[in-house]
Formats: sequence, C-alpha cells, structure tokens
Amino acid sequence: MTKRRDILKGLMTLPLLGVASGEALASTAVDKDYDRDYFKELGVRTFINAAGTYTALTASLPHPEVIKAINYSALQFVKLEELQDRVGERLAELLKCEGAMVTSGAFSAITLGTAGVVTGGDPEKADRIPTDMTGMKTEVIRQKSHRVGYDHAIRNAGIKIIEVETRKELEAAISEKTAMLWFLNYANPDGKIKDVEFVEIGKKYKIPTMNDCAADVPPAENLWKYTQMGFDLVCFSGGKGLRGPQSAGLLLGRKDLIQAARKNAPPNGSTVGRGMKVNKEEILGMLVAIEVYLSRDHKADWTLWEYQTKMIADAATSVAGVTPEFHVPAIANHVPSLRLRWDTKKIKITPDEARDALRKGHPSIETMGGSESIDITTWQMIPGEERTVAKRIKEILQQASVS
Amino acid sequence: MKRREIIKRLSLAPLATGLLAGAPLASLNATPLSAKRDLFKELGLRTFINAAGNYTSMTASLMHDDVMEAIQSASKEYAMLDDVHDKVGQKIAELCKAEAAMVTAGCWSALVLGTAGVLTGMDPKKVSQLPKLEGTGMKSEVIIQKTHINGYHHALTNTGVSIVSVETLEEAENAINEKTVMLWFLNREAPVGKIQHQPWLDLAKKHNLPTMIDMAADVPPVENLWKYNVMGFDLVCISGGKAICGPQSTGILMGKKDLIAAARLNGPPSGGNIGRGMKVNKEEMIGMYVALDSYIKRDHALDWKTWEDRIEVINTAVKKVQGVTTEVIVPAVANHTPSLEISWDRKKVNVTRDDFGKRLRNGNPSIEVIGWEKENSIRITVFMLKTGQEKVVAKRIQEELLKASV
Repeated sequence: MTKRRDILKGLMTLPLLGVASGEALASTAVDKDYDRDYFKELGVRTFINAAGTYTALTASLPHPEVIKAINYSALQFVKLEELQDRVGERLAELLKCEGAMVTSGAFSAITLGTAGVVTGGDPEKADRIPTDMTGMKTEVIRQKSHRVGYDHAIRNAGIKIIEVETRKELEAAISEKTAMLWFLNYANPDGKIKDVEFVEIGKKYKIPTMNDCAADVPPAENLWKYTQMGFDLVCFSGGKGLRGPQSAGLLLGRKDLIQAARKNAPPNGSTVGRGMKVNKEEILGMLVAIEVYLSRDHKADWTLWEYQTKMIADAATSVAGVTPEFHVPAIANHVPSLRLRWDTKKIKITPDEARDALRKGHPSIETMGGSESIDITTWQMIPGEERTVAKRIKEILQQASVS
Repeated sequence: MKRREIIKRLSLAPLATGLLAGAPLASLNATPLSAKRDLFKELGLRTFINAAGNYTSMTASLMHDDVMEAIQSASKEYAMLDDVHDKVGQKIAELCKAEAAMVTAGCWSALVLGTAGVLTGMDPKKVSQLPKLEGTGMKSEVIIQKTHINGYHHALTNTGVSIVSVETLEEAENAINEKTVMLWFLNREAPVGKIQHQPWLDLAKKHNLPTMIDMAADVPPVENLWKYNVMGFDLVCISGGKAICGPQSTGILMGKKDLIAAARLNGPPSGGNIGRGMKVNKEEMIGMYVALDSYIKRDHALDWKTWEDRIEVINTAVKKVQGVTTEVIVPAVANHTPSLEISWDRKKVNVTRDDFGKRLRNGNPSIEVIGWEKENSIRITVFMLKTGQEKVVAKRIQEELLKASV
C-alpha cells in the first residue's frame, strides 16, 4: 500500500504541477495507491477519455463510493435473491417506480424484460426460450425509425420484430401474437409515434410497452420520467452517465413484470439470462451509484462541463483556421459537446490524423468524430484532464499550421 | 492514513488550481465519500457463514484481497475493452496451456459465446442472425450424451441450436450429419456417461467436428485448468467465481484461437449479437486474471490439509452426540473437496432436516449448509470458510443436535 511519505510528497507537488504546466492533476493520484499497475504489467494502453461513454472505451470510471461499496460487498456471503429483493425495493423507491432489478447492462435489461413479458415468470416457459416458444407470444412491434443493433436483445428471447411506421400500421399489426411494443428513447424525435402516444396505444390494447433509455441520463429526471409516463418497463445502462459498474444496468417498471424478468435471470438456471451474471458487488455498486448520482449537484456538473469544453475550444481556436461548434445532443449523451473543424489549407493535418496523434501522444487521449471533425465531451474526464487535452490539441494543430 | 482520507485530501488539489483557473467550485467531482456504511445491514440483509459451498444463489465464493485490489486499481483508468480482453486472454491462455482465452460473464456465458463462435465463425452477418438459424446456412444440432443433459445444456440452446441426445458411441456416430455443430461434454457427468473423454474426442476428430467441455465447478484439482486443453478439447468452459475465487460474475472460455476470436465477435463491446447482454467490465477481467494466477500459485496440498483439519474439528464435535453418524465424502468431480455428511437417528435426535437447516440459518451467526440431499442428514463443506469459522460451525451444529436430543 501507499506509504505516508509518498502521499505527502504527492500532495506537495500536485497543486504546483497543476498551476505550472497544466498537467492533469487527478490522474497523478492514480497509480500510487496500489502495489501493482496491472495495465502496465499487461501492456494495456490507458488514456484520457475525451470521447464519452462508449462501451469499447470502458464507458465511465465508477465513482469512488461505488468501488467502496464493491469492496464492502466482497467481504460477506448473502443470498443473491434476497439482495436483488432489497436493492430492487430501494431502487424502486429512489426512482419512483413499482419495481426494479440490477441487470448485466441495458442490453441484458431488454432481453430479461422481454423474457419476463412472454413467460409471465413461468419457469417451464423460461426453460424453452428461444428455441421452443409454444404457448408464448412471439412478436414485438417497433417503429422503423427505432431500428438499432440493440434490438437484437429482443430477438435473443426468441422474438420476431414487426416494423411499422404509422399509428395506423401499428394498430393493424397488433394480433394475439403481440408480446410487447418496444420504443427506443433517443429515436423519439425521428418516429411518427411519440412516446406519450406510444404508451397510450399500449394501454388501449393492454400490451406492455418497453422504453430503452440506455444512455439517456442526464437529465436525472429521465430515471423516473418514462415509468411515470406509463411505460411498463424502462431500461438503463448503469455504467454510463450513472457511473456504476460498467457491466451493470437497470430494468425498472411494473412489479409483476420485474418479478417475471427475474425468473429468467441468475441464480435461476436453464434460462435465457443465466449468462448475464451480475454479482453482489455489482448489485450493491449499482445501488450506491444511483444514490450518489441523485445527490449530485447536476447544475454544477453542467457548469463544469461547459467550462471545460470552452477551455479546450479556446486553446484550439488560438490556432488560426479552427472553428469550434458547441452543441448538446437532445437525447442520449445529453451533455455539452464540442466539435472542432479546421481549414486544412491552413492546418495541414486531417481530423483522422489528428485523432491518431492524440491517441499516440503522451498521455494518450481518445476523441470521437469522423473525417470532418474531432468531437469531444469532457463529462467522463477526471477533472483537470481538460488542461492536458487543451494543451495537446493546440500543440498538434499548431505543429501542422502552415503559417 | 486511510484510503478515504487520501482521496479527500487529493481532491483538494484540483480545487486549488480550479480556483485559480476560475472553475466553478462545487463542480470539482469532490463528492464527499460518505462515512463507513454497513450496506447489508441498511438493507436488512442476512449475511452468513458459508458451510455449503460454491452455490450461485449463495454468491458462491469470496474474493481475496489481491483480487479486490486489482479491481480497485483497474477502476481508476480507462482502457480499450478489447485491449484488456486481448492481454488478459493471452495471460490466461498461457496459465492454462490453451491457444487462446477470454473472460466471460460466468461459465454459462462461456458456453453461449463458445457455441455462437462455432456457429458463426468470423461472419458478421451470421452473428447478427443468431438465435435464428433456419434459412441462414448455419448448422443447428449439438450432440450430447443423455446423461449429460441436466439443465446447463440450455446455454447451448440460447444460441438457437437443438440438442441431439445419444447414449452409445455408435448412436453418437449415427447422429452426426451435415447439421452437426459440435460435440458437447459435461465433465461432472463423465462418471455416469457411457462415453468417456477420449473416445468422445476421437469421434469428433474423425468427423472433423469441434468439441466443447463444460467444467464449471471442476477445480480443484488445479490440474484440470489445463488438463482438457491438453487433451484436445477445442473449447473449455469454467466458472471464475467458484473455487478460483474470482468475481462471481465471471467465467473463462479457452481453446482454439480461431474459435475464441469468433466467440468474441458474439459478445461486447460489439453491439447486435447474442452475447451483448453478458457484459464483463475491465475490473472483472483483471480481477479474474489475478484470481486465476493466485489460485494456481497456491499451495494446494496445504489447502487440502487445512480442509481436512477443519472437517476433523467439526466431526469431532458432532460425533459426540448420541445417535449421530458422520462420513467424510469427497465428490469425484465438481466441488472436489472434503465434505462431511452428518446424519442422525430420528429416535435419538428429533428434528427434521429442513428444521435443522432453519435453526442453523436463524442462529447467530447464521450458517448455510447443504440441507436438501437426504432425510435426517445435512452435509457441509469447509473450503469457503474463513479461518476459524470451523469452530463456530462445529459448536453450532453440536448445540442444535444436543437441543434436539431425546
């Protein structure tokens, strides 16, 4: 473990470094608490995450409180079902819904929720998904504009997806085979049927509705907005904006459907969800992540992100030919975002090359964007890292400047 | 200095520079770490001494300090999930003498992803089609011995395949056709099957079909970690959170390089596939590797001796009660550790097995035992006990037997 004098030394140098050179502060504190640096040992590149909550980039860093809960949870045996019961009750209370469970990510929440709907929690039926759907409904209806790779999660439960565009088509598609109506929250603006109307149709025909809100906090209110709107099931990713364990998610909604979903998940064997294992550490970690998230000063978070984004934009635009574009995605990853474009006649480097230079530099920085721009969010950075990002971007653009 | 204090102090540093740079105060990620919380107590949850064993519903095993430290350390930085997969996979493969390996969300997940990999190969279109096999050109039948069909085969059917059940080698050979995906073997049922490992492998090799073995709970012995790779199984699946004491939500899929690569296409971070819901994070991957490495390095003979000593402590205490008989049982495969069966004569000790289990569960401290196998009898294992707990278990069982004595 860390020795006292290392800590003191660290504390003395930290503020100085920050002021003098603009180096990332918080990341300096990373390695010293641990005997071994596993990423280094394994030869795995670590980086500053200026991209956002992408699964491939390990999405977010769990809050220290979450890690503390994980450590705590590791010390004792409990019954997994009892833990899901209690944590589910607590989550339902915090998130103002009837029932809740921790799943192995948002995708897992979709599969388990669907399986819960079609089996009604009958273990005999759960045992037959997805190869023998006898006696179960087999179709889920969704809007064409809500088509996404993630709807594979529904098909994993043995379901066929029926595509519709209009309300008329939707109502015509409803039959005795219809298990559920599925909604992709971030596609709300693109669909002809909006969320409220979608819920209303579900209620009219007494067919459960599910809303996939994977990356749709912030705002925090979304955690209860859609269950209160009337969606029977709502799915969230746990390891994105919520900063719980990356491998965790939430299924929220009607109590009977949550109970039915749980019959399709561990510790129950012989189910479609047994491979979607969450351990007690992840379950408690997820609960604490929600507590921490709800207690945050979201306004202050927003102000910080704006400040960080502006700092990076200022540094970049100090190089002639750079144009910043500030934007906030309406739904999903709804945070201050920065798009940097430049005149490649004045700065002789393509965005792809610049992104690669950021990745290969020291420290390594991951950003997003295509061949036209570099896209940045700051919300998953360790505070202080924005200085390093600003400095590196300026350096790279300056070096490529013609003038 | 405690970790909490360190973090608190470090969080002051950005605060200072933040001020200078004009950053808003409250926004500096300085969420105060709350005081020490007993979350299980807050939630009204019963914790217990695990004298039963590696049962998923009982959260199976507890992770050692080095694993927890690895998890904490991994939580502090970003890495590419696929990079962690690559490097951890290489290390695990080396340790287990396999060509390649990957960390999965439990042994069941390893079975699903491995089967999916065999079905799809490296074809993204096929990956997107599972679990629908009809009309896709993919094969659809897995051959299993009848005695090996016990619930876990459902992991295979998660991918859309159907199971063809056989009993003899001749039946197995006759069942092979152009739809055959692979031959599957459940290690723990090996003693009751008519076909043993080698003939099963020989048959598969003869017909150029892949083989998979499920050995979820089958260490100890430690040698099993590489035995089936070396024997020639193309894919080997094992639970990470049982005797190895890795994260409970992890497992390992190991075997042929091309099949592991194909299995990975069917899981995260890729999107639309059969395994995306089986998420493993970087903390779990590194935790799994550290647990495995430490497990292999343990003094296994000493562990065994420790378990025998614990059994002896409990045996000595309970045997003293009139009408009680005991037997040390070591399961041949799966949970292969010394266990103690404690049985009683109902005329002398008047309590049912279920009531006896309840009394141990409701006592202080709460103790879980195997209380569902035989009437008037319980069985205990000791490999999941913390040092010294054997004395508590011995005392409590003896007490309850005496209380029920006629």
